[in-house]
Amino acid sequence: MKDERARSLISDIDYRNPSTHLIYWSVFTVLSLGAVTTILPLLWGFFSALKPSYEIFGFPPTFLPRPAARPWQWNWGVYDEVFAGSQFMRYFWNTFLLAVFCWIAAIVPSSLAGYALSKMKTPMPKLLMLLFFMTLMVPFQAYLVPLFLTVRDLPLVHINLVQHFAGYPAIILPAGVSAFNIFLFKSFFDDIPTSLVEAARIDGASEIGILLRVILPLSYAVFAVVSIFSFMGTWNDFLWPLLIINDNNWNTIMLRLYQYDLQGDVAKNKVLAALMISSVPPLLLFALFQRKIMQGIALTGVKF
Amino acid sequence: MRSRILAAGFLAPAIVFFALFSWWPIIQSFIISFQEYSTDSAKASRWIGLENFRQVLVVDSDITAVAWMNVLLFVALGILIGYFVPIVLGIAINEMRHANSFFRIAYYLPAILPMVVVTIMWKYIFTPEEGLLDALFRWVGLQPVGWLINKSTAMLGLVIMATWKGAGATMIIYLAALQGVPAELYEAAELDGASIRQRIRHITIPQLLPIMLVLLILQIIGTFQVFTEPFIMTKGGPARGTYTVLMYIYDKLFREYNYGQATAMGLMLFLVLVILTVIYSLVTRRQEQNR
Repeated sequence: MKDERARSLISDIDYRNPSTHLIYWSVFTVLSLGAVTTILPLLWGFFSALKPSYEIFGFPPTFLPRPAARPWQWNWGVYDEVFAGSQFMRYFWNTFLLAVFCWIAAIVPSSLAGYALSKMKTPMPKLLMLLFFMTLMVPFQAYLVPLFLTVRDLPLVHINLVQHFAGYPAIILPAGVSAFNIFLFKSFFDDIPTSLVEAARIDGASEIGILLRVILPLSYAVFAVVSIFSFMGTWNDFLWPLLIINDNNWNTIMLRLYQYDLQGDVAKNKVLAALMISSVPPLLLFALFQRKIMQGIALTGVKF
Repeated sequence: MRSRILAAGFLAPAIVFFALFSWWPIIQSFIISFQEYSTDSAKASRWIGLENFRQVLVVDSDITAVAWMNVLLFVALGILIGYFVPIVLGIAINEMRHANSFFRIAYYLPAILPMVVVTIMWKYIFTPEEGLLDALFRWVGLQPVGWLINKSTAMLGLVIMATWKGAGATMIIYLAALQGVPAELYEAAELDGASIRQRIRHITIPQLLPIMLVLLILQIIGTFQVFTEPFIMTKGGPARGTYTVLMYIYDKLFREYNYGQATAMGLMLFLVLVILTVIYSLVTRRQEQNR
């Protein structure tokens, strides 16, 4: 990456100047100290999970568990105790299951709509786009209560989505609403030459066939971005599942963490262990798709 | 004609989803706010005019005012403490010729962690007297702050945590924007003998200004909806010192089951956010015209 860096504020000539050099290394030092404060709390949490409670909240503060010199004596079993013993496994699977369905809901309607708006002759395209993109103006928190009432009694059909499967349908179906995803798909498809699509049409391919066999192979990047953001969104979501899920056995991982922390009889080191375990999937996803995620944020301006 | 029907078929799923879970609830906001909402399908909801708003604004005025003031304070502190951090980080890290990738990842790290995880962890760190932070303060000979037990420091603690969590992701956006600053501008300035400080002031900042404005409005929109952090960390306390608008809505919903009043408060939040978004789109439109 270093080689492709365009010149920026400080040129190579500046850089050789002693006083600039001094400033550069001062900034470097400050940034390093700052980086310590972003990494340290996470490491503190990781190590504190291995301590007894009185050591987590004790004076003087310790970083490594005691005895610091003998790591093999630390309470490593706590991670297994929490994951297997406190059934965190179950909540992992709950959340994975939910994430898969939410992902389907996030991908299918938006990519179909994006394709139609980009490559097909749709009725009233201007009006439709206005109606879709208008919803970007209001985050869902602003109509939280009416949405909450809607999923409990869908208009016309009068179905209560909260009644079955612990309320999961009431989380999955609204995940299909994302003007932002439609916008991403549409603008990505806009860059694919229409001639490709027309050639396929002349060859007698169906529209679904074109979407799957011509467009999709060229659009892995946008599908990846939408998928990663969708998974992270479901995994990290708190407010909406808190309102909807009505069966403790079907809690998502974040709801479980919230309750685990509230239970007075659970030692705080176990809570910290649970926090660390629950952060593994997002961290893993980031490690695998670091470049994609960073590009996605820079490209879309959306943070998850 | 056939192709139009086909296109409509492609759009149908999205339209159904939007109609049910976006357009209809938005319309409902304006209806339920003026009703005594009935969840019983046999009993119709009753129109009660402005009664819900009277309840929220007059009868509940103490709590409502506190909730809005807290949110405004959160927005203000968030700008004061959190807004400039990612700008400075972005400009500084962009210049780093050593450990550049390390810095990017290190500062982005908190943004990857789930909000609930971060909030519970910081709750322990902020624990009065015994938590990591107060213990460190005592260790170096300072007074323990108490953080979450004091009204003033509780809000400060929330903002510090929110900045810690959020700065990295915003920094990435600034880093991307900095890549777009033309190298010729810096070269010309250097030939004219401009110092590095002058280059920051007259090139970097003006070049970043459009995106700075956009991110300012996005940050304000985001902080108006703060919920998870105070809900988990302080339960809105101490003495409602961190009680927010969304928490008020939550209480109306799950403690009082008063859907009309909850929607009325929601509608006010809705209007504030729409005004902010209109400003946002005006700003971005003007930027596009200027380009």
